[in-house]
Amino acid sequence: MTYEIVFWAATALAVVSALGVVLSGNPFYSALWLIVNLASLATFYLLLSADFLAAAQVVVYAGAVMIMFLFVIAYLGGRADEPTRDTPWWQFAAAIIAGGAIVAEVLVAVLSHSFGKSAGVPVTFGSPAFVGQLMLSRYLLAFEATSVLLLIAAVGGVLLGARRPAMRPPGSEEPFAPEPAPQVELPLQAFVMEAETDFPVQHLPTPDEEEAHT
Amino acid sequence: MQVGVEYFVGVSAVLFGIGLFGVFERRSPLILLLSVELMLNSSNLALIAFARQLGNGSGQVFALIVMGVAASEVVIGLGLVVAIARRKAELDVDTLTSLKH
Amino acid sequence: METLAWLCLFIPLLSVALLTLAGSRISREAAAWFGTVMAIASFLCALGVFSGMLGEGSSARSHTYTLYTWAASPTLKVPFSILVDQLSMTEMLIVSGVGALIVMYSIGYMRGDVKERRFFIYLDLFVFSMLLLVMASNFVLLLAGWGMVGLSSYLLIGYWHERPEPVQAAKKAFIMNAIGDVGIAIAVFFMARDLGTTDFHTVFSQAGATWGVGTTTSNLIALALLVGAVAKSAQIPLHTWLPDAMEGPTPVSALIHAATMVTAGVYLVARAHVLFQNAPDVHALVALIGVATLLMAGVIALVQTDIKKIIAYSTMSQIGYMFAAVGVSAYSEGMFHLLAHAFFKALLFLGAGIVIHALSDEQDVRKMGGLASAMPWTTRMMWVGTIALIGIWPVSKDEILAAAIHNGDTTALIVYVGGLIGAFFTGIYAVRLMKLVFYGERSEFAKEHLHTGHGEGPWEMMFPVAVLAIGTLVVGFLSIGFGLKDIFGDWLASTAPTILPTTGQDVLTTAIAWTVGIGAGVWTWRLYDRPERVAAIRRRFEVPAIIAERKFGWDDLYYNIGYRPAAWLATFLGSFDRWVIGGSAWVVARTVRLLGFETAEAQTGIVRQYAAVLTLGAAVTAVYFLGKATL
Repeated sequence: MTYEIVFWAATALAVVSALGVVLSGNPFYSALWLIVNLASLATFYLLLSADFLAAAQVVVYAGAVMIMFLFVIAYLGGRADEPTRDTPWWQFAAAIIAGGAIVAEVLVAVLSHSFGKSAGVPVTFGSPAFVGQLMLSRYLLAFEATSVLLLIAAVGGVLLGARRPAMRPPGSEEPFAPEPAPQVELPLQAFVMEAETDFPVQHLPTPDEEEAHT
Repeated sequence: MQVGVEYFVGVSAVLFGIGLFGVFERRSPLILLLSVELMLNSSNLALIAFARQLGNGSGQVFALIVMGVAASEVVIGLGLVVAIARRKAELDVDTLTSLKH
Repeated sequence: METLAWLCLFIPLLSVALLTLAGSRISREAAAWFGTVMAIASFLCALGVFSGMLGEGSSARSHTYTLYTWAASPTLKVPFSILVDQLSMTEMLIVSGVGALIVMYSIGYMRGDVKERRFFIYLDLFVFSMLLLVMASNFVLLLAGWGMVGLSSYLLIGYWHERPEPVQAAKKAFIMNAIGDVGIAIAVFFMARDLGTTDFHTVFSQAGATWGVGTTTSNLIALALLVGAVAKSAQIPLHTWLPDAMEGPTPVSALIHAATMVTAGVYLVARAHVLFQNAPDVHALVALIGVATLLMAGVIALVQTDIKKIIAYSTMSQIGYMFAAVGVSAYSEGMFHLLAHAFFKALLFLGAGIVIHALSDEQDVRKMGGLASAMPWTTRMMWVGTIALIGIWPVSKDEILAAAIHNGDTTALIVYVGGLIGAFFTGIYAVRLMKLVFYGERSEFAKEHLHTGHGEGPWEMMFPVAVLAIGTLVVGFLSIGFGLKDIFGDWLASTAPTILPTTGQDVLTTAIAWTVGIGAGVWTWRLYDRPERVAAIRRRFEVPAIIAERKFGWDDLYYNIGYRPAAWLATFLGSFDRWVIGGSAWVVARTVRLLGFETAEAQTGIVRQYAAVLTLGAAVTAVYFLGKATL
């Protein structure tokens, strides 16, 4: 009985918080709603005997990732807000339909199948030891690969965040100006064709010129 | 577990759909990232639900790794957002199109 | 003796290889001398073989030496073997002997040319190729030598390749020779198919039995060989390349286009006389072609103004005599004329070369004159050649006429009459040449440019000419005094039958020919003392003169039926290649490029669009699989 109550409560919380994430005007509020969502998911995990994962979810996700988000949002300040241009109504409708379609499909898939009773699991199911043992024996390669991935992400993050060597005095940064597209050189074949034939080489517009036109 | 697995998966689907809606609808890259997080978490839920149903720990391991991947992705994504902001560009995914042909 | 024969053949080739490898590491002079010494060595080997052969009985003089089997298939066997018998021995001596002399002459003539070494490499290559041709013991090897002399001729005519005229002349020569090569190849095909071998002895002994006499096949084979001979020897209708070949250096003209290569056709007919005897119609054709050519060439020579072209047309005419001879089965007379002609024609060319060299490469006779006083020795030696050309000393040409009379049938009589008229023309143009070049008043040009400060020419040039002059005189002496021609006929008898006219016929024809020749010469001599009379004669014979100057229209004919269609076809194919093939490639390239650009439009850089497409794809896939699962 308790189980079902907890389940439905967590469900409601999850859905509401998810809607809050996507519908908030303020990214700060969105981030906070997501934290609530993560918490509700952690509850789900507990209901599903995934103790370790619930803990990891709270510690890693809510504790680290979301804090990172909040830091960035705080750094960005007002710039993080949504730009004011409106999306057309049909895009809004299309988004709802797309989301709804996926949901419908999954529900159809799941509900058309009767699953039977869940397996009986020992108490240690979902414990750290349990997960750790799996990771270090059967899924060792995945484990190592993930660690490499994290390393790459760290390096990437540092690179993205690093300032350019030439330090400009604060306030003198120029506004963002996209570099001019490099001169698209006609490939060699085009030159050869031109040299050998007298066809008028139709000058297809380079991406640059196209952008200038549109 | 006393609640059938299909309920859990249903919740997962709903959350996924909401996340998808967020990806389509919002223009701020930050909120885009948050929506993507939502979607990832919903798939995690489905994985863990099935792991419990079948008594197979692989689903939990998978979910853990997905968490790691999501974290890395957030790092890079936020790094990009910061870099763009530093260059004083507008944070609007519809105008950030320099990766076009 | 076998070793000497092989050495004779391969020494020039060795010289080519060594000179090529040495490249510019040796001086030009050294390369020239090395080439000459190797050619002389080849001649000495030939002499060795000759002396060995003299000691044998006449029937034992035919030797076949095989080096290895070049090609062997179930249907055709081609050994690399040489045949050394009297006929090829004669040719060996002529080729290596006259060749060595001319190579030595070239040392002086080509001195100062920056690419001298290349010249001597080509010359030795030619000597090797020609020796291969005359020493081959089967038709395939002969064809190999045939082609290679054509190649050497091309290389040597086009030697000064910076100018366009020699290049064109070389191409012309090579293409016409190639037509001849096809002819011989066709004959080879017949032999390969029907006999399985192209060996001379086998073919000649089996020819009658396999193909019959006077049958279409025999005619075809002989005709095919005739095409080859005509092309190589510059007879009608494949003769137009020879005058153009004068673009090459004078030693080349002397060696290839007077003494040796152009006589290869005569050698071929003499060698394969059995095949021609088996095709009497074609045999007669040989004689008729000879007569036609000797007359036409003689007339054209009357109006030429370039000293080398006069001698070139003279060559064409004399070879016509040789063809006429072998056409009436007077093989040894033909070969004897070939021998004598090698001497005196080379002599004339080389002498002309001395004159050209002294006048800083001027070849127009109208700019010469009065050179006898400055170049006495050259003048004397040229007279020796001229007298031989007119047929006075030696009497090789007259022997041909005698044999024709003795033969007696219609073709032979045509040969006789044509030959006599030809002798008339020969007398005129030969004396005309001498008179215009060496006598009369010295022209302005000659006065300015003649430089004989160091004697008439370098000794490397004078010495070979002197040897040739002496040779001509000796041959002449022996022919008149000692009946050399009969000895020669006996010598060749086992390889090529000979006609033995009676002494009466001999003396009579010689006397008539001498009268005609000397008479024409004397008349011309006195004529050219008075230029106004020459002009009057020219006016009277205006039309024939123009026809002669246009070379009887052969060049125009070939230009219109050969070159222009080919050029049109080439242009057409060129356009086709450019527009159709190139165009379709261009179309494909453009299409792909266009498609690429259009497809690239999908990459808008808008993230949400990508997400939308992904979702759509995922949805469709899911629906598909769901449908499959449930249905």
